[in-house]
Amino acid sequence: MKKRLVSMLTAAVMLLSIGLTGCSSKPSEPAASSAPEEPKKTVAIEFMHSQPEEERVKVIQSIIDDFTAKNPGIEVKQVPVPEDAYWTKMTTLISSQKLPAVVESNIDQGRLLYAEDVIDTQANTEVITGKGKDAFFKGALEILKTPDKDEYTGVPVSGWVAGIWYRKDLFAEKGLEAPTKWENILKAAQALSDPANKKYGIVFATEETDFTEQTFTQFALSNNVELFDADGKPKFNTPEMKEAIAFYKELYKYSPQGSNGVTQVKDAFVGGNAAMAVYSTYIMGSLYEQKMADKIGFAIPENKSAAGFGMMTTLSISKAVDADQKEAAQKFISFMLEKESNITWLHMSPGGANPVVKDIAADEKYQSHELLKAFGETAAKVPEGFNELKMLGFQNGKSHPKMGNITGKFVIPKALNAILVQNAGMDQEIEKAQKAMEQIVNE
Amino acid sequence: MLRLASKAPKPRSALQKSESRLGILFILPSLILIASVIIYPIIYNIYLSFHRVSLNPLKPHKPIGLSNYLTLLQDGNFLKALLMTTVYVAVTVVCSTTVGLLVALLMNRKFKGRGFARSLVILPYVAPVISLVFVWRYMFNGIYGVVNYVTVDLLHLFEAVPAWFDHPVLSMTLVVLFDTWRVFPYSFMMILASLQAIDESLYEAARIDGANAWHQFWNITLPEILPVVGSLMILRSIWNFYKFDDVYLLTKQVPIMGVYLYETAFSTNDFGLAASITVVLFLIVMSFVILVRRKVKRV
Repeated sequence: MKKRLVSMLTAAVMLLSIGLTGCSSKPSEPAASSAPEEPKKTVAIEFMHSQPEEERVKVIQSIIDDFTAKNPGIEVKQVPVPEDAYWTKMTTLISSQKLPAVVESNIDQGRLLYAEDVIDTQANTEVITGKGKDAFFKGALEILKTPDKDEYTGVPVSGWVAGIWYRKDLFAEKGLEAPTKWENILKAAQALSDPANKKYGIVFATEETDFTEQTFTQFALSNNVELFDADGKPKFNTPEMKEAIAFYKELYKYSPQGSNGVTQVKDAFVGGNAAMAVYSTYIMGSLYEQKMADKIGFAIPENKSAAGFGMMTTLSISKAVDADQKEAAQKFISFMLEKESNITWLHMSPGGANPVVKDIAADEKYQSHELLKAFGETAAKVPEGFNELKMLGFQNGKSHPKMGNITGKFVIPKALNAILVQNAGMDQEIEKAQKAMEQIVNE
Repeated sequence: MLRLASKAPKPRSALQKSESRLGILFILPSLILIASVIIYPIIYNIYLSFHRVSLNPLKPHKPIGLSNYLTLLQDGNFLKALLMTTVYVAVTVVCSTTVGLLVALLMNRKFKGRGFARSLVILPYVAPVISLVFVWRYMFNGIYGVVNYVTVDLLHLFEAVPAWFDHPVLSMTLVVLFDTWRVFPYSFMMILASLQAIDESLYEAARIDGANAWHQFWNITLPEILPVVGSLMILRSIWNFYKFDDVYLLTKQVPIMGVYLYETAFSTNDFGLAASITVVLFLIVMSFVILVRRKVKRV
């Protein structure tokens, strides 16, 4: 009994001490007489991004420090998240209503954020109009439009473009024209292919991943392919689509066989086994390291029209913030579009991240990076790809709400892989893809 | 049973009551932990499987009854994935356990450099999957892969580079080989530990009775290690039933259940459908475990 009493007393004392500690940690209220002026209110915002490498975190911190020095009263805390965990982190934060004030996202993530109604597209649009819509490359803004309003899912700060990278030296040897037009691409692929010696005319994605959809998008859109009719119904089995797939299949004859993905495409081109590669601007770093920069050209495929594919890095403002935080977030994103800070951001991955603001693309300081100087004219030409930027499922200025699901379920890459790699019948696979799209749209 | 029934229950003393209260108090933290990290997620998962799940908590989940389950059971790809997974699990479990057993028997013998050899065997199991997948993809690369260099360029076994990861049968063979090679060290370690626990006097007695190596293995070694081998096979079956990473990274021609789950539900954030798939898989795996345990008990 005595023991029980002692233990109960001890527990009570411990609980009380915890409670008192909690009380003591509360900030003491300032006495009215000792605070003649109201202290300046500090607004704290978080900036979540997918650049967790130590060097990049330091660079981003330098941009933040510069911003906070110019904007006293605003605190910005960066939240770096590894790229492979970014999607999961984002969905978890949406579910827990803890999305940071400023969120980095690509086009697909932006669409998800919009569909879940967690981003303030009006606030994003105000930042864009503040900078001036004309300041951006046209295509870069167009593909960020929301499906139902004249607003944007994010503010673009940089982006990558994909196109055809080609060996200018090999083209010059054979007297070939730059691979812009379809017929020139095919002619060059034929002329430069020598599989017996492990030399291929072209290499591009054929595996069942979104990389293949991205690569094929350029050929499909350059043939004016549209995935949906005016009523939003799928139309995969159109003559334009069949022509584009037939052309892709014809090119595959001059490519390394099998399911080619990022590694295979990059290795074949950088290793000198392919004369052309369809890849993003992120290949520039590897080409530069191999001292191949001066031999490389860049082209956007063109048939009925020119079509580039690319991905924007955007910053978006969360709805889970108060008015002060929203204003602070807008100021921060506007700052990220200013010349100094934007160039610092772009030079974190030179070549890979490209300017979406026209003035910055032409700016001497931006072009002064040694990697960009090594590529010369090619580097200057790359950001222009944003002008021709197009996406499948994006018509009349609006993206189809189910396009994300069609990409997520790999409908197009599965059809292409079956036709090219598995040698399945084209008509049969096209009909299969048409049905898969109808099923997704009707879900 | 009768004896128990005939006994009248003894009145519980105050000490016994107090002890049982204390016992409950002691197991309470574990109970709370199990309830919060196992029971609650299972119940919540079942709840989600009957809804169209919204990511945004401000938008409510939409109840859709059995719709997710009907979608799943009407999908031919689900049944194909189930069949593919059964084949994959059966072959990989048998192969990895057999190889593990053989290597354990070999490494249980005394020879020079045994410690070093044992640590080498464990390497595939401790290396990260992603790096191993890359090594394999490089080995089979059509331009510079060592496998193609030997089989096509040197030995001329094939006219052209085979579609290693694109042909359904070849790719299934390779993912089974990969899994066997990667996980057999686990079976090896468990079986080796079990082998080392066998009393040496049993072998001495058998030798005196004139038993040869095979008889010793069949009548002493195997019965002694059987409980470990059985547990290993059950565990490996459960783990491989949910396999995703290395198969998905190596090929897209082996659509096992983990890959189906990812492509059908997670890639499109359809968490309601994903929940219904996991409920169905949970029932399948639980039935398998209960069945095996009953069989084992009978034996």
